[in-house]
Amino acid sequence: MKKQKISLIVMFTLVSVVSVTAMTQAYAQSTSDGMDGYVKGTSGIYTGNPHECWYSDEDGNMLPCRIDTGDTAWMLTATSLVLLMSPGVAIFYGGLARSKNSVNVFGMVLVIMGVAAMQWLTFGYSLAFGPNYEPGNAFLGSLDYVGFNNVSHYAPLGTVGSCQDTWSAAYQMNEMVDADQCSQDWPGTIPHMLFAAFQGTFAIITPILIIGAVVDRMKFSAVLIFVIVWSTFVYYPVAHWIWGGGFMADGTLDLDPSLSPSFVLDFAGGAVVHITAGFAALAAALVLGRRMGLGKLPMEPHNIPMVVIGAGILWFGWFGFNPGSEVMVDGISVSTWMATNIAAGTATVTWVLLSWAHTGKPSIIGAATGTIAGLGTITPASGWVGPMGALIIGIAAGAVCYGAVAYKNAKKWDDALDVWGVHGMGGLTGTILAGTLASPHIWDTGDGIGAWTGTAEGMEQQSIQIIGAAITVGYTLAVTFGILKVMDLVWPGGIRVTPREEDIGLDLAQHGERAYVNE
Amino acid sequence: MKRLETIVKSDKLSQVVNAIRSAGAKGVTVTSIKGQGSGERPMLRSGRGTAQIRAEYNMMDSIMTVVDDSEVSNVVSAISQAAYTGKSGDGIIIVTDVDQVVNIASKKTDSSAL
Repeated sequence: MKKQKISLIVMFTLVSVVSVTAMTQAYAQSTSDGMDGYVKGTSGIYTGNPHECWYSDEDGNMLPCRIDTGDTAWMLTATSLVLLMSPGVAIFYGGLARSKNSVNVFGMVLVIMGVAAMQWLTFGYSLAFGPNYEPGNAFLGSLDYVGFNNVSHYAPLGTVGSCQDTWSAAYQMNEMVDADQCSQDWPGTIPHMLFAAFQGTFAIITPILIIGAVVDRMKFSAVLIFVIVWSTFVYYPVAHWIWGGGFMADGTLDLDPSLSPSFVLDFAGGAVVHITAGFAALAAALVLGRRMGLGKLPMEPHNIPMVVIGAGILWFGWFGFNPGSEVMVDGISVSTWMATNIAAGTATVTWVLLSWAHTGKPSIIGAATGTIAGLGTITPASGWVGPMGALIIGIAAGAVCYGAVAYKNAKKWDDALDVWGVHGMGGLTGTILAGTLASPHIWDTGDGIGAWTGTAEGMEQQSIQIIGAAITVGYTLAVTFGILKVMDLVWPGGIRVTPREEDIGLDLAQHGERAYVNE
Repeated sequence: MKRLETIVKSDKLSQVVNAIRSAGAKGVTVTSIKGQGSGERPMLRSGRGTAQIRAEYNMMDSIMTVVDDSEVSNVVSAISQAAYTGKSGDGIIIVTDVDQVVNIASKKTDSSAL
C-alpha cells in the first residue's frame, strides 16, 4: 500500500515534468516572430515577447537591448545570496528543533528548495509576474511565462528607447551609448531571466519559513503537497498583487488620486514573504494542533551554536534579499544595505536587553531570534526609510516580536519555532511602519512619503499600508486554513503523523535516519 | 573487593579522578549522566528568551572504580575532600561488594586483575 503510494507520486512527478517540457518546446517553436532564422546571426535568441526590450538592426534582425554588466553581476550575486538563506533557515530551524526531529527539518528545507524551484519554472513565475492585458487581471498573472517560455536570458524587460534618456540614465554606463537600444522601464538593465531567477529565490524561501510551525508532527509527504498548493494559492497571487502589477500596485488602493501615494510600499517582501509565511504558519499550527507533551516536556532547542550560525547566514543572505530588490545598483541599493544592517543589529540588542530584564540573563537564542525579527521587519521598509528610521524599526521589531512570542506561549498556540511571532508580526509591523517612516529623502523620484512628514500624502500612504497589510493577513489566514483543513480530510490518515511516530521522532519514523550517530 | 560509584557534578570530574588515582586506585571508568536529586537544577532561558524553565536534569558524571577493602576508607575520604563545596548537590558515593573481577588479557582475577 505504502510502496504503491510512493511509486504513484514518483510516476506523477515524472509525467508532469515530461509533459511540461514537451509543451514548452512545442510552444516555443510556435513563436513565429524571428524563430524562422535559427542559424541567421543572433535571431535564434529572439523570444518575440513584446514585454521584453528588443531592437531591430538594419538587416531586420532582432537584438536584445543593452544590459548593464555591473547591475547584472550584482544581481547574479544577490540571487545567489538569497538562495543561501534557505540552507541558513535549515541550520537556524534545525538547531531550534529537538535532535530527534532535526534531520526532518533539514530535509524539508532541502527538498522544498527543489520542489519550489521546479514549480517556479513550470508555472509559478508566470502566475506571479506574467504580463496582464487590458482590462487586466489584478489578481493573478497570465500563463505567458509557463516553462520560462518567452523569458529571455539576453534581453531585459521594458520598452525600447534612447539610451541617453532612461529614467535611470544618471547612474548607468549605457548613458554613453548614442542609440535607441535601452529599456525605458524597471527592471531594465538585467536580463529578464535573471529577474525571474531572483524572484524565484523568494518563492523558494517563503514556504520554507512556514515549516517552522509544523515541525515535529507533520507528514513529510503532506508538507510537500502543502507547499505546492500553498505557493499556488497564496504566494503567487500575493506576489502578483504587490509586485506583479496587481491591485495593490496598480492604483486600486489609491484613496485620493490627487495625492501622489497610490500603491503599497513593500520593498523586499514584508507583506509578500513575511506576512504570508508568518500567518500561514499560525494557521498551520492551529490546524495541526499542539505537539504531544507541550508544557510537560521541555522542548528546548537542541543546538544553540547552530541557531547562531543560521542567524548569521540569514543576516548575510539578507544583503541580497533587501538591497537586491532594487534590481540594479544605485543609491537606493546602498541605503537599503545600511537600513538592513542597522535594523538587524538594533533588534538583536533590543531582544537581548528585554530578555535580560525579563528573565535575569541575556538569552543568546533570544539574540539570534531578535536578529531575524529585525531583518524581517525592515524588509518592506528597507528601501524607503533612512538610517534613523531603520533604528526605530529595529527597536520596534525587537519589542513587538518579543511580545508576540511571549503572547503565543501564553496562548499555547504551538507555532513550534515562532514563525508567526517573528516573521508574521515582524512583517506586519514593518509593512505598517514603512508607511510611517518612509522618507522622501531616499528616492530621487520623491516616492515614499511616510506619515512622519505630517503631510496629507503621508497619511494616505499610512492608510494604504494598513489596508494592504490587513488584506494580506486576512487572505493568507483564510486560504491557508482552508488548504490544510481540506488536506487533512482527504489525506489517508490525516496530515499529522501518528502519536507513536511523534514519540519516536520524525527522523527515524519518517526518514529512517538519525541526526547524530555515534558509531 | 569493593566497587565505588561516585556521582559528582561534571565540573568536579578532573579533581575527583585525580584524588581517586592519588589515593591508590588502579583505574576509573567515567560515564556522563543526567540526574535529579537534592541538588538544585539550573534555570534555563526558554521561549526565545521570553521566559525561564527549570532544567529537567543536572549534568553529572559517574566515576566507577574497584578497590581492595583496605583502601575503601582512603579513597572515600579523598573523593569527599575533592568534591566538597558544602552545598546540597555535591553528589554521592555508593559502595557495593564485588564478587569477582577478571582481567580479560591476563585471565588473572580479583586484586591482580586491576
